[in-house]
Amino acid sequence: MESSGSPTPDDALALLRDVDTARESLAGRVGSPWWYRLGAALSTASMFVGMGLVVGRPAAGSDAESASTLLVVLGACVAPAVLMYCLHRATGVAVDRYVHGMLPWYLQVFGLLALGFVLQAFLDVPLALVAAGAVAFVVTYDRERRIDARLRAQVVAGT
Amino acid sequence: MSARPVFDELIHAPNRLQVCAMLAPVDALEFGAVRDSLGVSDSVLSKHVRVLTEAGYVSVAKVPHASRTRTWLTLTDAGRTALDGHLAELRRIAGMAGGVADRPT
Repeated sequence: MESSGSPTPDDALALLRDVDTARESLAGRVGSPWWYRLGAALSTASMFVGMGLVVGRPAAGSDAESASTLLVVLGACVAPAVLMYCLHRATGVAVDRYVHGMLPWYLQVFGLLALGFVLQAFLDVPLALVAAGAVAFVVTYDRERRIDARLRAQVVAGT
Repeated sequence: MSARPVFDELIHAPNRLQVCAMLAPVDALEFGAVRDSLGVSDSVLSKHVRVLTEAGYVSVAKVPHASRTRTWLTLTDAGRTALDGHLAELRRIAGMAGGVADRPT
């Protein structure tokens, strides 16, 4: 329909339907694949496990100290960046997933981290940080799922 | 604030309208993702993208990746304004057919 001039109401309706169809097609691609959600949840959990090793006060230069540093850096910096790069490559969609802010997630995850740390470091509850990490895993996975749903709705609405 | 209805001859072509509509809610789309969503060939999409680029409605970024180059498309501010105005105009015209003026698109 390379027509010139103003379209008829029926043409306009057909074009608006085409726009809806295109956006619905895009909405199918805009969500993250399972491995992104799993990777994001695992990277969060790895920070907790790394912190758990730190609480054990590993000797300087020991394997435990190296592992704790590796897990914290991997979970906080490396994994999120690599995951985002892979996500863009895999889906062909670049969109700021976290434009609506990460404050609620930060509050939940760092609250869990603080709770796990206090329980394990000061009250000697064994594996408290690992347990908190398991909860943080679920919280993070659920956050990513919710973000996917919101993004799909935004794309369909064209906002 | 709703856009002022303005008919845009350049965006009016169905494929170009759909390209702009898909680009609007995201930061960028890879050329192949747009092609697959529209179900058109590389050459057809290239032609439409060239028209949109020359009008300043879409910007193109070529990102080297391994031995290939991946092309990313972004809707510019001018493209967004033109799209919003054209969609508003289409809704206005479609509204003449009976009560669809408040469509979300």
